[in-house]
Amino acid sequence: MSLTMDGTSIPIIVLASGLIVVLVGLWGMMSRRNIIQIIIGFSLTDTGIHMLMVAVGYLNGRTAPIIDDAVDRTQAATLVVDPIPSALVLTAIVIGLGVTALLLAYAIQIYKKNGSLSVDDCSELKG
Amino acid sequence: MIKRATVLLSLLLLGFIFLHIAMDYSPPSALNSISEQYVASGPDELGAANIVTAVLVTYRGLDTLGEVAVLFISAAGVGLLLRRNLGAPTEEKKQRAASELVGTAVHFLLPLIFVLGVYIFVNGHLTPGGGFQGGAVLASGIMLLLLADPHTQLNHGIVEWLESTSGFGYVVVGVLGLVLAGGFLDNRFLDLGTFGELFSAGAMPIIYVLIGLKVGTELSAVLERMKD
Amino acid sequence: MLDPLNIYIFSLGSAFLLSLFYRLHRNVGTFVFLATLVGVTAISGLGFLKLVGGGPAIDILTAGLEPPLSINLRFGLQEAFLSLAVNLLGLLGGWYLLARLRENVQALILFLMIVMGINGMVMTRDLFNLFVFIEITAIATYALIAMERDRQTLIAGFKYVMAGGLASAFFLIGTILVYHLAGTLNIDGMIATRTVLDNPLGATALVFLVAAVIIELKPFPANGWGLDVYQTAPCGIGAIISAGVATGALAALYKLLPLLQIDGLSAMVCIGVVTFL
Repeated sequence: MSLTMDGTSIPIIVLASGLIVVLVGLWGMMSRRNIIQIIIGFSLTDTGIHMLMVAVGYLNGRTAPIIDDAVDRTQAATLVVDPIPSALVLTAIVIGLGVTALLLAYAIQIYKKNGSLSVDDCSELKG
Repeated sequence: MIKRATVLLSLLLLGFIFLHIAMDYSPPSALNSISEQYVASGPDELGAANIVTAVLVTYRGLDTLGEVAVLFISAAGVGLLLRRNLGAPTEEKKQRAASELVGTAVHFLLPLIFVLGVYIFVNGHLTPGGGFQGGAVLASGIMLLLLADPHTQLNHGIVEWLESTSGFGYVVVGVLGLVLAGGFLDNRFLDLGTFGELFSAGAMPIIYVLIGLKVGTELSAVLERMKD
Repeated sequence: MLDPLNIYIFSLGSAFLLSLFYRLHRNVGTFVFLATLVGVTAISGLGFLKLVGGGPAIDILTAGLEPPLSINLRFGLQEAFLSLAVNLLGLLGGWYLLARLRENVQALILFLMIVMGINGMVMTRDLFNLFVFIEITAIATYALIAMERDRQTLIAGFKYVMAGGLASAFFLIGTILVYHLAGTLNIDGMIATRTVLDNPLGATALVFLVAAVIIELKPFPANGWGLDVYQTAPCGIGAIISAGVATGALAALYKLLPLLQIDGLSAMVCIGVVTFL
C-alpha cells in the first residue's frame, strides 16, 4: 500500500487521528480505576481535540503564518495556513492545562484523605 | 456488566459520528475572508511578523486576557485546594536526594533554560512562540530546580508580587489601548516601529513579556505547591 | 465610567491585585472585594435603567476594530437584565458568604471571577470568546466547591469537573467545525450565513454545541452530577453555582438558538417542564 503524501490527505489524517485520540481518552476516562489514569484519559481527550483544531486550519501546501524569508509579505495571503485555529488551539491548550492542574490537585487531596488512588475506594463515585 | 456495555455503546456511537465528520471534511482551498484580512493587513496595521501572535494579542486580545485569567484562576484554585491549615504540622518527608548527575546538570542547564524562555516570549511577535510558550519554558526550568533539590523554597513574596503586577499590568496596557488608541487592548498606542525589529509592533512585545512573566511565575508556584 | 467594559476591567484588575491588598491586611482585601462587587452591580444596574428608559444597546468593541475582525460584546436590554441579576446575586451571595470566603484570598478571587465569567457569557457575541468565559466560570467553580476538602465534597467535585470537562470538549468540537463551515467566529456573522450549516457536518457541529451547553445547564437527565455537588458544597456556593451558572448557560443557549432553526421556545419549555418533574 503506497501512501502518497499529497497535500489533500494530510489534514484528514491529522483530523482522524485526533478523533481517535479523543476516543481513546474517553475510553480511559470511563474504564480506568486509578484516578491518575482517569486524568490522563481526560488529557488525551483534550489533546485529540487540539489535533482536530489544528487540522481544520491547514491549507494544502502552505506554510506557517509568519512573515520572514520564506514568506513574502505581499503574497502572504496565498502562502500561509489559517492563523486563527492556531491561536484558538493555544488558548484551548492553556485552558486544558488549567483544568488538568485542578484535577491533579483534587487527586492529591483525595489521596491524602483516602490513602489510595483507586476509584473503587470512593463509594460515592458512580461514574 | 451493564456499565461496560454502556461505555462500549457510547464509544461506538461517538466513533460513528466522528467517522462521518472525518468523511465529510474537505480542507479549504483558500483562506476565508477574515483570515485573509488578518494575513494581508496584520503586518501593516499592527506591525507584527508573526500573524498568530497578532491574532492572539490584538485581534482576539480579549480571548487571551481570558486565558490569562484562566491560568490565574487555576493557580488560585490549586492554592486553595492544597493549602496548609494554620497550625497543622508540616510533615518533614524523607526526600530522596537527587543523583549527582541531576545536581550538576541543573547548574549548567538552568541559566540556559531561563534565557531560552525569555528569548521565546520577547520575540513572540517575530518568530514562533510567545508569552505562553516562553512562560512554560521558564516554569520547566523551575521544575528542574525543584527536582534536583527538593528543599528549594521559592520566595513566595516575590513570586506573588510578580504574578499580581504582571497580571495587573496586562489590564493596564489594555486600558491604555482604550484611552490612547482605538479600543481595549489595541496595541497601536505605541509606535509601530520598523517591521521585523525587536522593538516594533506597538504594545505587543510588552503584553507578551507581561504574559511570559505571569505564566512563568504562576506555573512555578503551582509546581511548588504540588511538591508537598 | 459606566461603560459595561469596566465590569471586566474592574473585576480583573482587583482580582489580580487582591493578593497584594490581602497581604497588607485581611480587611483591606475584603473591602476591595466587596467594593468591586458593588461597583460591578452598579454598572449593570445603571446601564439597565438607561436601557429601560429607551437608550440604545451598547456595543462594546475591542482592539479598535470592527467585528468580525475583533471580538465584540453587546449590552442590550436582555443582557443588561441578566447581568444585573447575576451581579446582584453575586453581591448578596458574597456578602452572605463573607465570613467563609475571607479566610482565603483565593476564595475571594475565585468568587469574583465566577461573577465576571457569567457576565462574559451573557454579553459576548463571539463563539470562542463564549468558550473562554464558560471556562473561566467553570474552573473557578471547580476550585470553590472543594473548599471544604472533606471526602464527600472532593469526590462530588471530581465528578463535577469530569462532566464539565467533557462539556467543554464537546463545545470545542462544535466550535471548530462551525468555524470551518462558516468562516467566522462571530455569532451575528454566523446567523447571517445560516445556510452554510445546513449539511450533515453542520448539524453534527450544532449538536455538539447544544449538547455541551445543555450539560452545563444541568436539566434532567444530565443533572446527576450536579446533585452531589449541591449536597456537599458549602451552602452559599451551591446557590451561586446553580442559579448563576445556569443563568449564564441559558444565555449561551439563547444566543445559539437562531442557529438551530428548531422551534427553540417549545424545546426549552419541554426541557424546563421535565427538569421540574
